[in-house]
Amino acid sequence: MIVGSLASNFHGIPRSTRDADFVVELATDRLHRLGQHLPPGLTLGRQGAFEAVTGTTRYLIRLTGSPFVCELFVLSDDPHDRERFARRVPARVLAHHAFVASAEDMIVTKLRWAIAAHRSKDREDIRNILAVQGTTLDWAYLDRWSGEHGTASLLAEIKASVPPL
Amino acid sequence: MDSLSLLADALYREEVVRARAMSPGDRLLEGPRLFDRACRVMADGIRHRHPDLDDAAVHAFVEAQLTRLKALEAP
Repeated sequence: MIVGSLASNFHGIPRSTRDADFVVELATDRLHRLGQHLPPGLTLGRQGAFEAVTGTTRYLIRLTGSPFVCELFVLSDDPHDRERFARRVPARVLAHHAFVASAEDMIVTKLRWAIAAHRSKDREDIRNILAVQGTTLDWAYLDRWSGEHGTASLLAEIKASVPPL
Repeated sequence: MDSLSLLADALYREEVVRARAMSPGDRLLEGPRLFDRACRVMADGIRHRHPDLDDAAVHAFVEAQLTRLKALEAP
């Protein structure tokens, strides 16, 4: 499932991004097997790094001679991580079938990151998704998860910053 | 509301309208395209300042600048 800034762009206003993030449902041994079957020029890092917000493990795929990287996040036991994976949206990207995290799940995830990592780009991405998606968002779902994560006041603050469209 | 805020809102509305006019797939792909363009412009700037550098050294400079920019993302 495509997540991160590519998914934010999918639902919001495009911005430059230096990585492609994916959530994968793969056991570690199968991940390493995937690494052995990558095309030349792509290398999967052998060691995963712990990602604190959802408690998952992150693996990097590097492209020789390019600063662009792919990050693979192993599907975790975090309740929202599992629900967003179940709600993933089918999409066509470069003539391939793909799955993208839903607009609501991008907002829920980025609210957590905005608070945990204090990154301004997360707030901006949330604002842009709210603005572009307009009235199509499932607010009951957003209210439930932002209430659970303690991010409801930040969501309300960002929502109030979207000018009337 | 002051005139600067009105202008900022008007510019933002234009951005939203442009984004809504694109397909979601095109919006997704625009991220790596913009990054690629940014890297080329960065490399052009480095070559302008250091005309004696070869491509590998320019690439290393770009990588170093990107690392510094990433470090600035979070306070």
